[in-house]
Amino acid sequence: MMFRVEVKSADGHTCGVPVQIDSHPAQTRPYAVNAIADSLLIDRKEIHSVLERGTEAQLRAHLERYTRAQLKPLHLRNEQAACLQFFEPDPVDSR
Amino acid sequence: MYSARTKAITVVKLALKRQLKSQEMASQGTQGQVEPLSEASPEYGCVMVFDTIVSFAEHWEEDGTHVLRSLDFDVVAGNEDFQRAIDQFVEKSEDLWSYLSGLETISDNENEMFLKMAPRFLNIYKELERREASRRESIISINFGRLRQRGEHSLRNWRPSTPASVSQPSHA
Repeated sequence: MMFRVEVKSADGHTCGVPVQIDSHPAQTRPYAVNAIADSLLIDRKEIHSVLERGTEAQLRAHLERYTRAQLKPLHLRNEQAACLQFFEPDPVDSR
Repeated sequence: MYSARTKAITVVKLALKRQLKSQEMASQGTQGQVEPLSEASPEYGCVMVFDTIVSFAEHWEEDGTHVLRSLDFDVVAGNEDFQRAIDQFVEKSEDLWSYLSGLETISDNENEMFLKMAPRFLNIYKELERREASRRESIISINFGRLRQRGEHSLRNWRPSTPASVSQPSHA
């Protein structure tokens, strides 16, 4: 299955981020989940919680924090961006 | 686009040119100290169809699954069977190529990926067309061959056209 998230990058360009998802393996494979995380510039440690409770609006807001160069597919990126935190830190934890 | 026909052919024709780390290391005399393939230390190669490179890729094993990840665009495929992993990789690459080529508006980043894939898939499709054409020609020639063969037995055989009432010439 393939879908595409279209966002306006931090430097003002319209960028499409295509994501391919395996539907056939009954058991989720780490490589498949990591590939989604890498495509969407989400920290691999955070990807499971994003998949569980992340919303489309949050995903767009997350991607819009990156520049066009950073939104390129993993191996085409000239500049590797550090993955930004997807969820806002919990105010209780940040105290 | 050509997926059904491609599948049938690629299964036979696919090859991953592997630069096996184990082979390299064995040739360097470090046999027995082979590092297992992992995402952090994969082996590199390229996935090919009809001698055309689909993508340079890295390969590693993860819980008994062979994983192939493109170094040219965003495609990852995995399967317990290495050949099936290659097949899936090609199918997913073709899906991505078809998807990108069908977009009404394409962003620069996607266009970069598309332009990388375009000449490769066009080469593959051309080769596929060429093979299809030669397959069709061979089917036609086989049919003509059959007709010719049948002609020997059915068209050239003798059919009685005289009515049954007409007496047969006497050979006496």
